[in-house]
Order: sequence, then C-alpha cells, then structure tokens
Amino acid sequence: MKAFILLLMPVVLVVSAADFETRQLENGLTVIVSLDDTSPVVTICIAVKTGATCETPETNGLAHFYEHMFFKGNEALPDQTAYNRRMGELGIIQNGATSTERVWYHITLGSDNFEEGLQFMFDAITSPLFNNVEMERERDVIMNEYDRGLTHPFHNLWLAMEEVIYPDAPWRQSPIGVPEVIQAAAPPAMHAFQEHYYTPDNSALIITGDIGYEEAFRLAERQFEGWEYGGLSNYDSLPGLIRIERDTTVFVDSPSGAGYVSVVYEGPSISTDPGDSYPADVWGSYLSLMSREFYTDLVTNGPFINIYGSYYTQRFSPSITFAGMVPPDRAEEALALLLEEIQQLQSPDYYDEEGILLAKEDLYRHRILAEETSRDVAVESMPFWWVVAGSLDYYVTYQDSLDVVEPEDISEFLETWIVNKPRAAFVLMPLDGEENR
Amino acid sequence: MKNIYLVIAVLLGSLYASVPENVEEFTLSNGIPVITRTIDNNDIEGVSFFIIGGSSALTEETQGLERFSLECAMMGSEDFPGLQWRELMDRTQAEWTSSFNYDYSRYHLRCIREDLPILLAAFGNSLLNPELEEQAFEQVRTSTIQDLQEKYNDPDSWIWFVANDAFMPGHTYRRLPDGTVETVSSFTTEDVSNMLEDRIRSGNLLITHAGPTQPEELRTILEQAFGEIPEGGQEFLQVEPFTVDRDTIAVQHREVPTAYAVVKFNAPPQGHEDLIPFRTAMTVVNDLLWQVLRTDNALTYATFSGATNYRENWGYMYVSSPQPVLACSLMAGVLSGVIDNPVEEDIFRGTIEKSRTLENLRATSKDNQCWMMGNFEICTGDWRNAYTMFDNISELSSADLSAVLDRWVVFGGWGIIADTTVVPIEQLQPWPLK
Repeated sequence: MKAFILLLMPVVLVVSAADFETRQLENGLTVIVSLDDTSPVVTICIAVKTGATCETPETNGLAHFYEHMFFKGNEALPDQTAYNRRMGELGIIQNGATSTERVWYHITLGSDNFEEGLQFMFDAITSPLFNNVEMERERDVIMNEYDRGLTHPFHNLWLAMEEVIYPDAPWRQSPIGVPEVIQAAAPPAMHAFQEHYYTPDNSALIITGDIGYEEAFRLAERQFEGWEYGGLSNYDSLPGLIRIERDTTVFVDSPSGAGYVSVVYEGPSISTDPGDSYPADVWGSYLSLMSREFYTDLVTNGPFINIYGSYYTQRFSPSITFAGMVPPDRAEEALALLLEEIQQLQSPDYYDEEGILLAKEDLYRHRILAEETSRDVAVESMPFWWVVAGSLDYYVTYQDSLDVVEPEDISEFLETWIVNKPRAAFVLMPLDGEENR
Repeated sequence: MKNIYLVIAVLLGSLYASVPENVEEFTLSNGIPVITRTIDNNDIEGVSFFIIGGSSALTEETQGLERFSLECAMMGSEDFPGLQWRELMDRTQAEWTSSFNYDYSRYHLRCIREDLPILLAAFGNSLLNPELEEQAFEQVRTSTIQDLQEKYNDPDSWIWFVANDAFMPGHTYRRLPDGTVETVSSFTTEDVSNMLEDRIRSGNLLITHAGPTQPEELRTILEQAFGEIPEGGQEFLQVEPFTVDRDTIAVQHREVPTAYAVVKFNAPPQGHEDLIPFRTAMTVVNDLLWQVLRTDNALTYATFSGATNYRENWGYMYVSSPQPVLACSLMAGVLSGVIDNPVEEDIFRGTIEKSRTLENLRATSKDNQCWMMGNFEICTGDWRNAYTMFDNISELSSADLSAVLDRWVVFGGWGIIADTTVVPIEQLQPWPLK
C-alpha cells in the first residue's frame, strides 16, 4: 500500500490539444481538420456565431427556430421527406443545437461518403427554403419542445435567474424563446437571420475522422468556396450581458420538490478579460477537489448532496457560480453555510500549493477525457472554443497559460471578481403555495 | 433533438462489424472471466465491472439494495478511507459511471492509462473492505432518495415505469434495481455488508476492458485488484417470459402541458434468431415515427422506438404530445402498417445505412465497447454475438421485417401521463397494435 500512497502525490501530466490544421478560405470560412482513423467515419460540423444572444424581445426564439429549419427542405432537397431519404442513402446521423452564444450542426457518415456529406451540409447551410407549410408544422414541434421544458424541475429557477442576473436583456439567455415569437415566426425573419449570421465569415467548418488533411481541405474548398461572403454579422460587437449590481436572494418555488441552492457572481469575459480566465479555471478546478475544504465543509460535513464552484467561459454572460443539490428541507441552512464558505475562500490561506498543482493537472486530464473520440472533437470541443474564444489560439495555448498561473494570480482573480462584489443567490425549494420571494 | 439520437444510438444493436481480432479472454485465479479489446489510439482506458443478477437477485424488500451497497462502498475503504479515496479521485479525475438494470449492475471506469492500476486497486479494496462510515452512509442514502424522487417527478423519466404497470405486472423485472424511497430508507449498514459479501463473488462477476493496456499487463493489474475476491456466487435464475394477454393501459394524472406515452410489447429474448431482424424492424419503425408523427403531422418534438437488450426483451414506442389520443393512434398505426405492408426498400436500406454509421461511431468509444462485450456475454452467453449477430443483416428484406413483427407483436401495454382534466380519460383506451 505504501507504493499507492506515494503515487497520490501530484505529478504534472503533459498533454497537448487534439492535433488539427486550420485554413481560411477566401470567403472567410474557417476550415478545421483533425484526423482519426480509429473507425471509418467522418464527422462534419458547422459552427455559427449566433444564438439567443443575438436576439431581441421581438426575435427571441428565432435562432432556435432557424436551427430546426436547417433540417427541412433546401434547394437540393425540396422538403424534409427528401432530406430524410437522402440521410438514409448516405447513412447520415445528424443533430444540431442552439445555445445562448452559438449554434452548431453536425453529421456523421461513412468516410467513403465524405464528399457527398460535404455537399449535403453545403446545401442545408446555404439554401434553406423556409417553406411556409414546413414552418407552420415546425411551429407545433417547437411548441411541444417548449412545453416539455415547462415540466423540468428547474424551469422556475432558470426563469428567475434570467430576470435577476441578466436584467437588461433576459431573452438573450433563453434559446427556446417565448411562445408569441415562436407562433409568429415567418420566412422574412428567417431570411434576416440567414443574411446576418449564416455566412462563411461568421462560421467554421470542422471535419474530423478517417480522412486525410489535403483531401479534406481540397474538397472543403471546392464545395464551400461558392458560399457568398456576408460581412453583416454584428456578433463580435454585441454588448456584455451579465449585470449583478447588488446582493440579492430569491426563493423560487419548486413544484417537483427538488432542492437546489446557487450563488452567482459576474465573471471575466473571454473576449475582454481573457487573462483572468486562466486563474479562474484553476480556481474552479481547485474547488472541485473532493479532498479540500470546500467539498468537505459543504458535502462531507454539510447539507449539500453535491457542490461545485466554477467559472463558465463565455463572451457575453460569463459567470462564477457556486451551486449544488440539497434536501429541500435544508435549503435555507445550506445557503447560509455556502455564503459563509464563500467568505472564507476569499482568503489566500484557503488554498494550498499542492492543491493548485493538482487543480491544474485535473484540467489537463479533463481535456484528454473530453476528446476521446473524433466526434467529441468535432461536436463539443472545437465549436465551443472557436465561437466563444473567437479563434483556436486560446485552445492551443491553453495548457501553457495554465502552467504559469501562480497562487497570487488566484488571489488577484478573487479580488477582482468576488471580494466585496455583489452576488445573486437562489434557493429552489417548495414554497407551499407562496409566490417567489 | 440531441437526446433523441442519443437514445437511438444506445438502443440500436451493433450492426455489420465482424468479430475484431484484437480481443482476448482470460480468467483470473479466482475464476473471474475477463474480456479485453486492445485499442491504442489514445491513452484513455475503459474498464467495466459487471455484477450479474439484476432484478432476480432482489426481493420486494431489497429493491435497490445492490445499488445502494455499491454506492456506499464507493465512499471509501479500509486501505483508502474517505479522505484518501477522495484524494485519489481528485488526482486522477477518474470518471465512474454506474447503471443498475434488470440483469446486472455495471460500474464503468474511464481514466488515463497511467492511473489504471491504482484506481482498480482502490475499487477492489472498496468492494471487499468498504469503510461504511456512518456519515458517508447517510450521505449516500440522502443522495439516492433525491435521485429516486427526481426520477418520479420527471414525467419523461417516470413514463417508462407507468408502462410497466400495464406490460409486466408481477414479473421479476418489476423489482426495481434502483429501489424505492421506502426500501432505501430502511437499509442498514448490516444489510449493505451482507449484500456485498453475498454478491461480490467471482461466480457473479465479469470484467471487460477496452484501451491501450496490453492483455498480459492487464491480467497482472486485475489480479492484484480483484484476485482476493472469494469464489462462489448465486445461480443466474431464468427469467420468465412476459405474459401480457390483452391490450392494457395505465394512466397517471399530472398537471403537465404535454402528455407522455409509452407502449411496450413482446420481443424475442436474447439469443433468439428473431432478435436482430426484430431490432432492425424497430429501427425502421423509428424512422417512420419521425416521418409520420413529427414531419407529416407535427404532433411531437420527441418520438422514437426500439427494442431492449435484456435477457427477456420488449419492443417499445414513445411519444410526447399535447394530442396524445391522435399521437398514440398514429403510433400504433405505424407499427401495424409495417406489419401489414412491408416498407419501401429504399427506406429500409436507408435505415440500415444509418445503423452502419452508428455502429462505426460506437466503435470509437471504449465505454461502448466494454458495454457491448459485457452485455452480450451476460445476456447471450457469448460476447462475439455483439459483433456477429448482425453479419447477415444485409440479406434481410423488408418483408422479413414485417414477418418478424407479425410473429412477436400481439398485445401492447400502454402507459400514459397526462392532464386528464384536458384529455378526457375515457378517450385514453389502449390502441391495438395489430
């Protein structure tokens, strides 16, 4: 057993990001290629810099509506039935998602159909029809998606958080949108979205899997060079969103009986304060250590069922959140303890050097595990970093930037973002018929 | 949409791939069988530890005890007491995932290669010598009860159990591997110790591995970690077939804005020659549900179908819709339509092509490889079936799929969660599947 105990001392693991090459076409489209010949499949993903954050109250939900229309008819495939059949012919499995700060679409198919897959994606991204009949049908589908969300145990909590943390534009945090906009969505609004955001200079084409670099770039260029440059996206100049001006505590009714406590602070934007994001990540990783004070006080010896404290890397709504599940009857006690713990963790003495080293190593390991498959790289890793960080430079230099984080950087991060800063606290618990308070 | 394809991916069996060459089998000194597939494309390891038995190892009173006992064991052990256990998990960032189903419990470890020996050693020690410290014990109880309540409160999750009321009353599989709030509330440390002593025996166990560690090195690591597990074990009792003898429906009223519906029906058991054609047919039905319920009629955001992977199986169809009567009626119509009239050949071929892609995609995940080999070894007696049972699928015709559904689909057990003040309960009758 002694050998095992010795192994518990942290050692620095050297890892690199997934290998990839990137080029930019003349029309501004970024093409990213990463190889993996483990299995004869290729994943093609298109990431677009748009999402709820680009919306207004009048368009809230349209970025998501647009995502649904991607899978409908286009100039090559006249309706969804034809689209579905073509998927079968090529053996395509697909998906798409809309978040606050990005939208991405991806297909996976056999590498022998790679060229046809590129054509399939090109047609879908460049020439959606926004047919009236299909939009009418999709409206009901999206309303069903909206209704399903209403039954989620955290639905009330999310609504409260949008209102309190993003008071200037809560809709920019709500990709599903509001029923009035969904019900009124029409082709002109879709075309407006297309014109502004669905252009090569606002998008990245990511190709991973069993393919060669040169072939991938050659075919991508041949297929996508005809996508017309747009130049109209306002994405990079959108204003920040998160604004917490004073300490607030909101008690939110939990019809399902679930208990949850969270405390939120403003965090550094990756576009304006990228340097602060590295100590923020190391600090968050430190708090995730189950052997340290944060977890021990709140979970091992406290009322929390689980707990995390972390920084969420975003451009417009970066946040620092402490949160965890609690038994509903201990929710108020849990909030008090969490606030006390947050006071304590503002002291440099709260952190030990070995733990900081461990926290860094955890971040390296996390990246290895997060990129096990080529699909992980194409769908999860690359789109996130390319959109949120604005390029893959941040992704490539991430480990080097973590390496140089020192304890004093963490202290400075805490001073800048947490010490004496206003916070918003939320307690989800049954209120027995009372309104939120 | 993400979840739907994920579910389909999980439910589809493996297609087309033949038995890979880089798989070896060996047995530890105490008799625990090991199946390992060497995949060295990166440094990530996957190891699955199966405890065979599932529902048949439980009684009404012990529902959930195996899960609860294993979760307690994972809080610390004699050699790795709580704090040290947590330090190890901190250092390695190991991912442990667990599932507890009708036929077996499975713990899966995902980690970096260099961490494999110590993590498996700690796991082995926790199974044989769990710490069972009181505070940690109660922490697991609180967390488990919270999970169970969440599952019950989420209609999308609970609808599957409502359908069980209609489809499998009195069956062994009604004993819930996750337990109930009542049973979990009653467990003691003595119950946990006894359960682990009974169940952690070599005859109940199977280990599968996928990753870069070579077989000989793996054998050494596993021997050190699990070599002291005692021999013996329980008989893996036969599970009785389902006996639903009429169309049935179970309705649960909830104030929900959209209704949830699931129908379950007989399917071939594992190892039966009809299983793969049946599963393929249900994948075709899945594509048709999407076309008819979502594309053509916009009745739903989520609909899908498939067949399970247990020893005794069922086919199922799912939908959530504000119009459950119409949606369920169409869903039943899609299935009976495929039974009566073989689908167009290009639709059938399209389904096969997509399944081929899914299978190739699954091959990139070590977790999937571990699950496939273990599941087929337990449920069919030979892990190779995960790769070979589909070799002849291209020889199937659309008419074969209709025929296999016709042989197996008789009555349906329907479960519905709906707001019965909006959807009149008298309209919620079981919809015949044939």
